[in-house]
Amino acid sequence: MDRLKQLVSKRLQMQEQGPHPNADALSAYAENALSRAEQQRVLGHVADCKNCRDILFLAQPDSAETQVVAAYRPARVWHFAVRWGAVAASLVIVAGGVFLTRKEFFRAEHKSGQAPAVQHYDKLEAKQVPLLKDGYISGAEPAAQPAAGAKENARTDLAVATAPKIRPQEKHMTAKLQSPIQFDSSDQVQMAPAANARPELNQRHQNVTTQTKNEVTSSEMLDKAAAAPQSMAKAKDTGTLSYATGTVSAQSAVAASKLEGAVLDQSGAVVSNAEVTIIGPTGSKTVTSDGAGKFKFDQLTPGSYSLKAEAPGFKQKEITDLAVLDHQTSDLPVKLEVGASSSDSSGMVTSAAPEIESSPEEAKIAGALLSADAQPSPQTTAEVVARDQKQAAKPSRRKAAAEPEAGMAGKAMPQAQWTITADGMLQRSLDSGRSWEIVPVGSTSGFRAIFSADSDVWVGGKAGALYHSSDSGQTWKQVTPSSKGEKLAADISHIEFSDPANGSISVVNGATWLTSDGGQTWRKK
Amino acid sequence: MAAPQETEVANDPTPASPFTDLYERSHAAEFGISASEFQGLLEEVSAKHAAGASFENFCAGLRIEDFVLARACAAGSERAWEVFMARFREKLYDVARQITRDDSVGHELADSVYADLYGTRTRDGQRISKLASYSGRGSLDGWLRTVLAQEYVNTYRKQRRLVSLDEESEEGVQFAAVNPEPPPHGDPLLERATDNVLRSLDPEDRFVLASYFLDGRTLAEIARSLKVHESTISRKVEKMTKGLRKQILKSLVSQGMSRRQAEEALDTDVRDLALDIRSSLTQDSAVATFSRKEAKAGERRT
Repeated sequence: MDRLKQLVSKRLQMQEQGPHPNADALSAYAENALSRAEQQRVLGHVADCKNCRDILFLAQPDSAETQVVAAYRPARVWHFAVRWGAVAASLVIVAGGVFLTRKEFFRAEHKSGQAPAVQHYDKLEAKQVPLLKDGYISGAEPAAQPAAGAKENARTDLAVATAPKIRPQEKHMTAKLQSPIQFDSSDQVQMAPAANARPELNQRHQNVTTQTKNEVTSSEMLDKAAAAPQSMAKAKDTGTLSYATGTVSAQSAVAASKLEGAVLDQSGAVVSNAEVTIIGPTGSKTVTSDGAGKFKFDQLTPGSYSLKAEAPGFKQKEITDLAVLDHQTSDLPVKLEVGASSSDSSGMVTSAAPEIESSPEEAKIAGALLSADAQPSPQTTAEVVARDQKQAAKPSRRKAAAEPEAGMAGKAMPQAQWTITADGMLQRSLDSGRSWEIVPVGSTSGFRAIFSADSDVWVGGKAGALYHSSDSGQTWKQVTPSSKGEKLAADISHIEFSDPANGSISVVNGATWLTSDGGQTWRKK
Repeated sequence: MAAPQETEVANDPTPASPFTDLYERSHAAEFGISASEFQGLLEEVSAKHAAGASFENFCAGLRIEDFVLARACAAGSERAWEVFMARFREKLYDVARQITRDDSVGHELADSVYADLYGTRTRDGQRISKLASYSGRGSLDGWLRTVLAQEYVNTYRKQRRLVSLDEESEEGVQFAAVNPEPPPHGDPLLERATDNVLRSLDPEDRFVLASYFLDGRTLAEIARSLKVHESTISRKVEKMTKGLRKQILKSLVSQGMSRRQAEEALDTDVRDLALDIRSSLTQDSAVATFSRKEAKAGERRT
């Protein structure tokens, strides 16, 4: 393969080159500012011309200066869904395989002779006995008990002897109640005969009574316990489905830059006929919220916007520094506070609940509701609640993956690019490097190193000046690393984090400061 | 474009509405560029570079502030030069040092480019400033970086090859003059097959191959240049490396060779190329390239 590389290298050198593009075309190419045709023409030349490639690479900003946010961005949710979908599909296949194998196994047993079947039946019967003895179905036919010499009768009476094939599932189904449960005046349960039950069974059901209500409840619980995993699974599935749907709707909105949202009052009721105005790079636009309080701005130029919302009876609400991303839809709930209005238009507060996009929390609620529809057992509900509480207390991986998107929808903050100017000022670009703004950080200007990942930004410079922002530079916190009484005072030359907690800072005197808790504590190396 | 009087600016007719906003944003008036001159500049650059885009769209996509500053500097506006120096002087020297990785050479390079920007040559009595060639499609900052890199590649790296014997003996073999030995010729069939396969690749794929195999650039450098993630380039290189051999063999077979002959030709011919690769890559590459390393390894083997 190395020889192939040498051959390819040689022939690449021999490729014909057209006229060299000038510095203007090369720089515009490097910044994706050319038309598609011209971009391809320049790229075609650069692919064959070593000099122009060298110029391109030399003209790139120093890697330490600009860092595109790409470090530990969580995997896209659809990757997550595909991955777990594949796992689920393989599990289903394996389970199907096992089921079919077992089916074949039982068939083979039956075909091979009577003895194994009887043996198997005996095992099932032995399992059945404790249930009866424990009083799950008290008084349920003495004939069902394994009396000596009564095996054949037991097989018939248990109604499991429904078929020459004796399978565990069918056997188990005999424990299920086949008719509705009713309590009589003496708190005893009577079971109405099922319409399609066989006469002999009906007769037996009519005779079935329980000594206490609790015992029957236990029987009922047995059924519901059997149903619980199903309803749990159903709830879980629904939760996943709702969650995935919410995510897909957020992703499928990638068509053009849009800003949409709903105007709400403090109680969460929607405010219709509210005037919503945005002011941005291309001027201002005004829309009125509809009956559901929704507003929408289409065809927006990506950039920084400010939004004003006003309705009679409410104070004017203004949101500034609202970043609209290229080809993305930002969802923004606008909450108005009651107060003197600045206009007299006919704003109306309706009681309709605001329509909100699906979120993991809602997915959980949907799952719980679905469980309720399926009439789960107390255990089922308790388990769902416990699961929800657990999830609320301890953010799951799913929630963690969804949080950046939720944050993105709320704050509508784009991916920022960061640079440090020659004079050590911090600069940020919210439009892929088209424009840059100075971001004031403390009173320090001699920055030399920067690291950014997601919304975490670390910047450091002269005399150990170190600042951290966890909200893409909206707020900054000065961090003073110290270890064993020694404070970091040297100039910081490099900052690097492998994840939000673990990072290192290199200083000019060669020392390295490490943190494993996001900058709370440091140790010097 | 002579520096206009303030009275001329005041007497200019108000430009059409699409230009009003552009004109105001460009600060052209601050540099003494009237609205009509501004419109003339836009029409000139649009005629040269719009390439099918409508005039309004093209102008809307321009770095209008940078463009006007550059053109005002080229026209000799003192105010424009003040702004330019305040914004770019330090940056110019920093970038030059970054490119040359040497303080004195960097300073010299920046001075040389600065002279070109100001315009030392004249045509018809007018100074020719390099800034007049800036179209405003990219940023002025990026353009200056590219001009510095171009000047460095065109002038300084060529000069570095002219090294005195004293310097060579002091600094080591890397300063040795280029050996002008002509490269040996390989199998024309194999070369033609390789050329065909390379020509069939996307320009971007060829760029990645050349940058990685020939120039010895790192995956990170290539990724930054193409604005993609490093892992994307890594996957692309791996995929192309696997595909290239297959395609070359296929091409050789289609030219009448048997599969075995094609494989032998591919393996045999390349062994003879080691010397060629070394000589061609040592001519002006500042970084140690993949092929040079391979060539050295091959030399040791032989």
